[in-house]
Amino acid sequence: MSMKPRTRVLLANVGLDGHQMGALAVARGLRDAGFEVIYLGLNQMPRDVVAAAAQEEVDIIGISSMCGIHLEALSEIVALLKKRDMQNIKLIAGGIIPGEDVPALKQAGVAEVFRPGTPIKDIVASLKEH
Amino acid sequence: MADTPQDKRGKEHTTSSGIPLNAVYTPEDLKDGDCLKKLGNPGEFPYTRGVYPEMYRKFPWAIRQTMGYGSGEATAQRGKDLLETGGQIGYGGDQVNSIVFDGPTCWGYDSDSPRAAYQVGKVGLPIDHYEDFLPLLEGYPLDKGFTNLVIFNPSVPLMAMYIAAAKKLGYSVSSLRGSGNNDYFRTHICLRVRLLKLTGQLRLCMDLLDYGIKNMPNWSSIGVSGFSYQPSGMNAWQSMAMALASGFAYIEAAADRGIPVNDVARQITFFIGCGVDFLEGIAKFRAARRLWATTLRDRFGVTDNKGLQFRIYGYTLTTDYTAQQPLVNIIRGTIQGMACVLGGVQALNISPYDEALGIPTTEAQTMSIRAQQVIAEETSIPKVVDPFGGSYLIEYLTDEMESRMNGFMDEIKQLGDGDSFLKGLHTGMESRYFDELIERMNWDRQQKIDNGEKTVVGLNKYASGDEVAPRAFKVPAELSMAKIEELKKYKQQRDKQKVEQAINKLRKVAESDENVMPAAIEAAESGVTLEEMHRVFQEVYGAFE
Repeated sequence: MSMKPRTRVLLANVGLDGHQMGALAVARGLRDAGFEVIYLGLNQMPRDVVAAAAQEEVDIIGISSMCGIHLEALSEIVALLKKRDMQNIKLIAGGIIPGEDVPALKQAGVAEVFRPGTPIKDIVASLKEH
Repeated sequence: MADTPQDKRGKEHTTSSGIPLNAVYTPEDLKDGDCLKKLGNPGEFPYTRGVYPEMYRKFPWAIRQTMGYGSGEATAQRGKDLLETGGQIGYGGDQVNSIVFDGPTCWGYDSDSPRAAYQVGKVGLPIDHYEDFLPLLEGYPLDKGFTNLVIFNPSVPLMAMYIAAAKKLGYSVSSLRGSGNNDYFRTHICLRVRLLKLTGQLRLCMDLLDYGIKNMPNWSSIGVSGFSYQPSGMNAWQSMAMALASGFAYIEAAADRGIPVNDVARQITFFIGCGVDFLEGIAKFRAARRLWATTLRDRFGVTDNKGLQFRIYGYTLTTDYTAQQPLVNIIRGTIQGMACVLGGVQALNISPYDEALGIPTTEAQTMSIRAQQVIAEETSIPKVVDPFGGSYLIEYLTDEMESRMNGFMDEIKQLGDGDSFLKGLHTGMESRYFDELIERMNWDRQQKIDNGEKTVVGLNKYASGDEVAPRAFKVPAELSMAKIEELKKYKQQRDKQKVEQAINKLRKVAESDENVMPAAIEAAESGVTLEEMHRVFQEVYGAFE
């Protein structure tokens, strides 16, 4: 049995939008793979996500954006993490994100972007490397 | 007939929703010898073969693509662009539309709310007050054609604003033609917009229905959305069973209020999805028409023909689509659309191919319209009513669909007292039964795709590194900023005393047994905002927990 503490992941959906099936599937896949997952739920604002991440002392924040606000919401989260000296936390994103936006997201500070269709096992594998 | 049901991997052949498929079907597979009696003729009870006798021979289905973004002007311009492609045309050749609203509007927030940040106009039309409707509606003949409003519950505020805008443009309320969803079961279960306790949702839904019956004969006050259950994770017959159960539940609720069932049934229309599993899609529509008519007549005593007709706005299933090789979605959409037409829908939206990238570009919408035009004008499909009727397979699948839908509806009723659809649905919502079912089914589906058991072309098979990437549509930031600015000015300039009076009146009516619609329309006309109206209902009826 591993003596390493389990990696803690905070997942959240940003924006007023009810499409959470992707986030729920990722949450389950990560839990099955041994991660400690806190799913904040729908309609989270960036500042609430960062506050929860601080409180829960997570290693990874995963944002699901299903309503087209990925660039703005993730930039705001990066800025808040910087402000609160929480840059050690890895930031990942998924949802309805066109390929053309991925470079800008990575430049803004998002470590990985998982576009629609990414197998859950690939997300798990990618986060296990962390 | 003996055959080998196992494929190479030793698995049974089934449809996507698990209905077994033999190698071939013959007359022996039809359970009833008297096939025609059970089917009926098109346009006659129980409408299995179609709600009208001539269907598309008389008028094609309405090509009605859903749209909306940014502002009334932007949405109106998109509507004009689509009209120029020959789309957005309904029965009699009049313009039709289907309008979606942005996140804040759907969730009851004004554009200046902190919760609306970044989202104003991004995925639909932003409406803060009734005048926001005017630039969109000015160009359209609201008393001709058909206007569908994709409204989440509670629908009263937005519907009141639509009516107020129409009145301002000189229309009588009774002349308005169209539909608004006002389906709080799907709003709650699939869209997860859970703003009010269910008693409050029901009250407001029924007020809108009652108002519609008395004042809006050309409007469908409840557009039940069976569509949303499928992208959530339910299969074809579960989704349709939810739609049917919802319709029956609304009739039960209306009857409890003393509203005659014949008045109610004709006000209900359906918004139904269709997946790329072509064969079961066609069967699903046929089974639904028969189940609706039969149950309405035998259980609820409906005799009005219009009410017995299960009228459908077909909407192709977006979760069959991929972000990878998105042009392949054109093919999926066409197959889904054909299944809808062969299934006898009254209006059709073929989801645009860029669905997984964002809201649609004009090019993608045009392609969906072209697909419908090819089906309508280059094939023989519209020249025959129910072309697949009498096919041994399709009649087998129709019967299977009907039996499975009935089975699922029994499960729904069992959640409550075993007899009431309304109680079953309410219990399912409060106990999170449907949430858990959806989560499980969605996970299973995801697993099957991830392990290759379910093939998705371009995603887990035939994937290619190089792909044509169509541009994703982006709503210009100026439109969001303009709407927020406009709202600030509007709040400064409106008659604050009048607003306060209207809000107080609305609250008083909401607390009483009186129908809220007149007060809601008056509030809209007084300049009360969407969020202000929602607040009243949340205060009076309480939030869902």
